[in-house]
Amino acid sequence: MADEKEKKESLIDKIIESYEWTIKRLERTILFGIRFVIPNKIVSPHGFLGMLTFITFIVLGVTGVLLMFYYRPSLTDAYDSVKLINDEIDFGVVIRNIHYHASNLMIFLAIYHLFYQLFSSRYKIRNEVIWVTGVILGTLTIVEAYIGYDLIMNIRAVLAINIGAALTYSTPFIGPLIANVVIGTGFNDLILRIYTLHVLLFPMVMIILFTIHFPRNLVFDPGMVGIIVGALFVTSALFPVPLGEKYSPDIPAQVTVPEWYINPLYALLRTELDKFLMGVLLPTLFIFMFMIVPFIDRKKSMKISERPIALGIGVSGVLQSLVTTVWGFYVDPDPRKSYLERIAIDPYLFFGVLILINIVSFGGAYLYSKYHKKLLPPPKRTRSEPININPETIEGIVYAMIIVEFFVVGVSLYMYMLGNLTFGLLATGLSLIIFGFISYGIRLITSR
Amino acid sequence: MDRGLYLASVFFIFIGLIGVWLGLYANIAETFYELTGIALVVLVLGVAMLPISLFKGGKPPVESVIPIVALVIVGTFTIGWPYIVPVQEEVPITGETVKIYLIAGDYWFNETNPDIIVPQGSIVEVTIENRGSIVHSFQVFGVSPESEWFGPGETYTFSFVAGQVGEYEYLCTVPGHAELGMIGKFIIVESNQTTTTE
Repeated sequence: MADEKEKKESLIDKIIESYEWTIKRLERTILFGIRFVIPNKIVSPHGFLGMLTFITFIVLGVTGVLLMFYYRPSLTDAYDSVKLINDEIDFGVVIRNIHYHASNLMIFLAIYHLFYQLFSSRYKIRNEVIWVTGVILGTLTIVEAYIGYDLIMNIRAVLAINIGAALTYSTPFIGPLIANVVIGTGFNDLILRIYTLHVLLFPMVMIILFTIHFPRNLVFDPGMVGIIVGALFVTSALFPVPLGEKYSPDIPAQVTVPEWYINPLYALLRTELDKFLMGVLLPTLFIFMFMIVPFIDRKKSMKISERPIALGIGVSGVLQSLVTTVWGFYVDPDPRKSYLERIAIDPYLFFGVLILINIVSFGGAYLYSKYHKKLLPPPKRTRSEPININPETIEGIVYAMIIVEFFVVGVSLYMYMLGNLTFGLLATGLSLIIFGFISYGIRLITSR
Repeated sequence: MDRGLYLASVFFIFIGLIGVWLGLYANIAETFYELTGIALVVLVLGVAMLPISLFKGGKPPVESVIPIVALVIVGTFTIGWPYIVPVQEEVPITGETVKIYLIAGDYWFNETNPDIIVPQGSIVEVTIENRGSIVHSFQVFGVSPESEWFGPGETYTFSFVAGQVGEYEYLCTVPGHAELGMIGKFIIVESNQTTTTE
C-alpha cells in the first residue's frame, strides 16, 4: 500500500513539475510580456471574466476563419453557402454551431464582466482608461455579432438588416454618408461590405482595443477556461442552430424577433416614435451612462453600499436590460390584427415602466446607502470554518478523473471517426470540462 | 462562502426560472419561446455556481439558506407550473371525423368565407388548396395550431380536435391577409346537435 501511494505522489509531482517547467519557460517569451498570473489557489471566476471573454473571442476567430473557407458573400449565394456548410461540409455544422453559440457566450460574458466590475468598483484604482475601452469593446462586440448573423441572409437576418439600414438612414447629417459606405446600392453591396466589416475591420479594431484594455497582470486560469470552452462545446452539440428560412422578396413579412442582444433596441423601435431618437440616441445615452461612471463616482470608498450613484446605475442597468430584452420578445399573438398592430409597443406603458425602474433603482440605491447601516448591521466577521477534505480523497478523485478523461477523449475520437459529429463534439466538450476539474483538483493539492 | 458569486448565482437562477416559465408555460406569446434557450443556459450557470459560491473558503453561514428557500419556492411555481395550474378540461374525442376542403385564393377562402360548423369532440381534417398567387396559411384562432405557410399551387392537410363549444374565427395567419378578408366563422356546437359543414 505504502509503495503504491509513493508511486502515485511521484506521478502527480511529475505532472506538476513539467507543468511548472513549461510555464516558467513561457514566462520568458513575448506571450508573457503581459504578465499572465496562473493562480495557484482556487479563485473566483469573477476576477477574470474578461480573460474568459477574450478566450471566447479566440474561439470565434478560429471557427470564423474556418467558416470563411466556404462562405460566399453575395446575395444569391450567401444562404446556400451557409446551407452547404451546415449540411454537406465535414465538420461544417460543428464549426457553425460553435461560432454561433460562442458569439452569444462572448456577449453574455462581456455584459457579466461589465456589471461585475461596476459593482466591485474596479474602475477606481487608476483603471479609468481600461473601463472606457471596455465599454467601447462591449458595444463593438454586440455590433459585430449583429452584423455576423445578418450574413446568413435568412428572414431573421433581413429583419435585422432592415432595422440597421433604417437606423443608419435616420441619423441626421452623417447617416446618408455612412449608408453610402456601408450599404451601397443594395443587398449585393451590403452583404460584401458587412462581410468585410465582420471578418476584418471589427476584429482588427477589437484587437487594437484589447491591447489597451488588457491590464498588465492577467489572470489565466486553465481550469475555468477548460470548463467554459467545454460548456460551449456541449451547448453547441446539444442545441444545433436552425438555419432559418431563406429570404426571398416574395415572402411577406413574418412575425419574428431578432437575436436577444439587439432585442432592447428592437423594443425601443417598436414604440414607433422617432427612429433616430429611439434607435440611435437612447442606446448611445445608455452606453454613455456606463462610460462616465468612473468620472461621476469620485468617492474613495470601494464599497458598493457607500456609492449610491454606481449602485443605482448598476441596478437600473441590469433591470432595464432585462425588461427591454424580454419586452422585445413579446409580439401580440392575435393573428387577426395587422402586422404593425401586432408588433407595436405602447410607448406610454413602455417608458412608464422604464422610468419607474429608474426611480426605484436610484431611489433604492440612495436609501440603501443611507440607511443600510441602521437597518442591516454588518455581519460580524467570523472566520468561517474551513472544510477539511482528506487529501487522499482528492488525489483519488483526480486519478479517477484522469482515467475518465482518457476514456472520454477516446470516445470523442472514435465518434469523429464514425462521422457522428454531434456526439464527438459532446465528448470533446465533456473532456474539456473534466480537464478543468482535474486542473482544480491539482490546484487543491498544491495549494495546501 | 463567496458573497459576490453567491448573489450572482441566486440572481441567475431567479431570472433563469422566470425565463423558462415565460418561454414554456406562461402562454403569453409564442415568440417568447425564443427566450427558453438563453434562460436555460443562465439557469444551468446559476445552479453550477451555487455550490461553488457556498463552499468556497469555508462552511457557509446559516442565513445563506434564506435565498435558497426563496428560489425553491419560485422554482416550484415556475418549473412546476403545468402541475399547479389546472389544465382546461379535455373534451372527449367522439371519433367522428369531419373533412373540410377549402380553397384559398388571394384574400378569400372559398370566395365567400363560409361559416364552418363542426360538432364538439370531432377530429377536423382540413385540406386547403392554394389557388392564389402568394403564400397562405390556416388557423382556427384559439382552437387549432397554425398551419405551415404554403405557396401557390400547393395543398396542405392537417387535423385538430374541435374543443370547447363556441364561436371562433378561422383565418390566414400571413400578416395582413386576415385584414384583407381571409377570415370566417368557425363554430363548434355540442355533439348531439345537428351539424352542417360546407
